Amino acid sequence: MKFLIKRFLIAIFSLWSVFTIVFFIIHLIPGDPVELMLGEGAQRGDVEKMRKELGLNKPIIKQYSNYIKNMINGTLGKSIAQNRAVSEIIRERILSTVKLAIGGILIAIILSFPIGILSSYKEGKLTDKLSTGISVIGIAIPNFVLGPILIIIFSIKLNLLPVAGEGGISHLILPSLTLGTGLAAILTRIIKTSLDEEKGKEYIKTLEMIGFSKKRIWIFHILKNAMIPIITILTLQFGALLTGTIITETVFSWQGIGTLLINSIRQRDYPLIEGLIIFISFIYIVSNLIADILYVIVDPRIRLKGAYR
Amino acid sequence: MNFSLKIGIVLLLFIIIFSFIIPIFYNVNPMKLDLSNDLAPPSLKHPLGTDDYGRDILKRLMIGGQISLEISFIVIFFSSSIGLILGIIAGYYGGIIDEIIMRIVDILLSFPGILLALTLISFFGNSILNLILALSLMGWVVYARLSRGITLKTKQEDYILSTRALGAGDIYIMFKHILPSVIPIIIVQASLGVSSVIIAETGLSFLGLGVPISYPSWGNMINAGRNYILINTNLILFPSILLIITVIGFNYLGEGLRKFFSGH
Repeated sequence: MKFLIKRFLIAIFSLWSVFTIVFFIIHLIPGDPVELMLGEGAQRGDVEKMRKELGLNKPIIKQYSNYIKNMINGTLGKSIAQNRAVSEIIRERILSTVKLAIGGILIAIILSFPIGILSSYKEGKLTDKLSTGISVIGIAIPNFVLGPILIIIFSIKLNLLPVAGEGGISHLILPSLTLGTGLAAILTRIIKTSLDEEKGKEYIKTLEMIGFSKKRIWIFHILKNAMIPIITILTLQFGALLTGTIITETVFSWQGIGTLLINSIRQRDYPLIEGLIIFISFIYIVSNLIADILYVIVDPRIRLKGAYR
Repeated sequence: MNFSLKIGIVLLLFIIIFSFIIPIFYNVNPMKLDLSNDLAPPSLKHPLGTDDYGRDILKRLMIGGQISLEISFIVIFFSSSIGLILGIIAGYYGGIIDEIIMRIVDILLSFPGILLALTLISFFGNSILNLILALSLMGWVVYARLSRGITLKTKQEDYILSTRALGAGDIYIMFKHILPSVIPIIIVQASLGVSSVIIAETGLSFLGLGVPISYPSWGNMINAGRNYILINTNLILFPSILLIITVIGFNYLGEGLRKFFSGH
């Protein structure tokens, strides 16, 4: 319990520090953010009007408290270009990103589970090569390279799948593959390690001696027990997947949170950039918190080790 | 010398010769526009063809390699030295100093992946200097955690306790005894870290937030090539292949160095 409270406080502290750092970065920008936004030729009156609208004419403490208020009530501030709450814009875009993230996780599971399990169940040259292969592809080929290569192979040369854009399942395949392979590489390694660890345990030897078949021991004991750490690590990777969507969405012109962020950076829509960064970090910190809590519930030994720091 | 180390060295030698040596003899202007000859296929004049502005792809790949390698080395140098110093200080002195440094580490780790670098660059604008600063700020935490851990372990060793009993000062102990045990591990981590820095740098460039577009960098080239993916796939494929070779090269080098040091 003490661990959980400590972990929860750390998450709150992380959230607060992300809020504060992002706030100070925007106020540290060399030059006036409003002038940067409106461009060099802006009228003096327009600049003043927008400063007032954004609350930039108020004292910094007041700005900070307004800012924290916006973060806590969930509106995340107001976009300049679109003149409405950031939360409203996120709500329109989030579904695309969630679809992509689910697609990526599914691909990661489809690729990693058979290879990971096989390479632990049947140790040998071929399975070794398979798992090394997937880690090389997943780790050495970044999404912005893998995506275009997949487009070239499957959309242009083989003409099987659409090049970009959103639509049915066919539009989802290549982006999910792009996003999921990196996770698949990590997952394959974790699956193999936790299975290897599990199968070396004493009780497995006992079960073998009793005379249970290898298949039966694997399905009912090794896989079942090793699954728990695998699932928690999958949760832990969810946040990393979110930043992966920024690049993958750009590659496939996918209208989600990632391309929204990149567009808002191009338009210098500072409140929107701010709100999006806070939103993405929030999801990341919360999913890390959930993963840690899951881990402790599943494996109480962690508490004794004091795994945090 | 082990197998991984050999593969790593061979791949990286190829990239270094390609990016730094061959351009000395291959005398083509990478910035020269030739709009009448854009997206040209490979020819004698342009061995890998030309890009959307009719510029020579081969020469731009070489210059792009120089830029990527130089940025990564500077970033790795900055982040590993800052991390090394702060990590040793945190681990050696402990207490409030340790607490402050490790809290900063925790805060920086609250930003997922490249988001911190992206935030900084989106607010401060993209220039090579800002890119280096953002990536170094993101990178030092790993080295700090590592060196702190090793320092905590090393400072408990008997010979350190006895040197201190003989009257050696803190600075002397840190330099003479702790640093040597930290350095090999930092070198291994740094060589493994180069590939993630290169991926982060090219990734930011790909998003238009890294190396300014006026420079030929692999990330910028892949980004520009996307618009012509239906017409000429070379624009994307060549920089991609070089990037993959570089990343795999550094991964093998790091792996090889790890085996090399742990063998001793």
